[in-house]
Amino acid sequence: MNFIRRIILEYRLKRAMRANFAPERGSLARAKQVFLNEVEKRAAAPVPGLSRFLLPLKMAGATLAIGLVLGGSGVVYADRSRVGADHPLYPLKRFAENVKLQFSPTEESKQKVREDIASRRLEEMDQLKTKPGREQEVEKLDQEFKKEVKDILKRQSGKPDKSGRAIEIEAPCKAAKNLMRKRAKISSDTEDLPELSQRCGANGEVDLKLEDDDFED
Amino acid sequence: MTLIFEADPDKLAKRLARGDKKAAGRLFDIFGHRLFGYFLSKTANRHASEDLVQETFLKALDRIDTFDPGRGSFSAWLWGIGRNALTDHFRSARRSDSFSDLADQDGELPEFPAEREGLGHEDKFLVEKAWEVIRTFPPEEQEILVLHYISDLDYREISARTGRSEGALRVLVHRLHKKIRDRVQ
Repeated sequence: MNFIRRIILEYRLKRAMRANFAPERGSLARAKQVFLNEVEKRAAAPVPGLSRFLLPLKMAGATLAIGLVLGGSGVVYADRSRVGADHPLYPLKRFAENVKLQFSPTEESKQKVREDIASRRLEEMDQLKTKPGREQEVEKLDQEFKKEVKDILKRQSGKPDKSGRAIEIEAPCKAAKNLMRKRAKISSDTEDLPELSQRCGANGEVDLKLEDDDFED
Repeated sequence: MTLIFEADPDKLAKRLARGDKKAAGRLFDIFGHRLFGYFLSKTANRHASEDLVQETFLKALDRIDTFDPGRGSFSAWLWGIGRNALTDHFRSARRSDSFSDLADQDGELPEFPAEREGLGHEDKFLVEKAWEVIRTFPPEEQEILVLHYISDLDYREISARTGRSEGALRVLVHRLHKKIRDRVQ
């Protein structure tokens, strides 16, 4: 009996103690709200470890974006305008030409790009030849021009390209001859390309017996 | 609206560290009133106790990244922060002398705090008598009884706070309760 009374007393004491030392209803609501507001504020704030790198990351991103825009604009400008071989943007012009050549979908379009490139080398030679001390550069441009013409002639096989379209057999000869004629107007060197006469004949008739390998440099 | 039924404070603490507001609310609901009772028993001042509860939770939030469940329970960790907040409170009060009537930080309990509204006459009498008995005990035993009776911590949590084994605590509480009972009856 005493045991039960002891248990009941202990239970009453515990309950009464907790009741007496409990907060008044709603008295901790303000403290809870302050705490939860702080949790929310910190959750919304950037992670401290990340914030240390955030500014440099943003700056790097901005620099990259500016670089891409300026670089892209530079490439477009260099490609479209008459940028000469001695212009600071000339490497961009050559880069744009390579990209255009690589991404031309058909052999026919590649031929057109090559013709355009060869014409550009002639224009650059024409611009540079009037400037003193640039003979070596003119000579280099001439070599590059001849390489483009040879490449044009290499494709004169009549075989279908990847898209299944056969290249017009006579067009390369015609294009190569036109380019050589333009070169003769601006250059004192009027010597023709041996490949041109071998492939196309003196009067432009096509020699189909020659293979591509005949023109490897 | 999502309800949280998670009751494991250690898991809730991990979620709090990730900025989970619901886990924060749940932790406050579990420990807010317990801390309040603990602070009230030490300060005998309800407003100061409310402020201390808020301060304890804000400090816990500041240091939540340092909480490691492998080194102890969240409850023990939070009580450690609460105890430090209480020590700071007494230090500050002693400096300003504005609470000179309150208990000191040596752990001795103050006069019985103003009773809560709505407490029955018999219960009020019982608690006041028991309180006077508890105040005669050494500070460490007072602390154990406050944690056991008022803060409703289990023996494992009290063991983590006091460094005594759970078995030893059971024996001690039983002995202290007998003393109280003998003097209250």
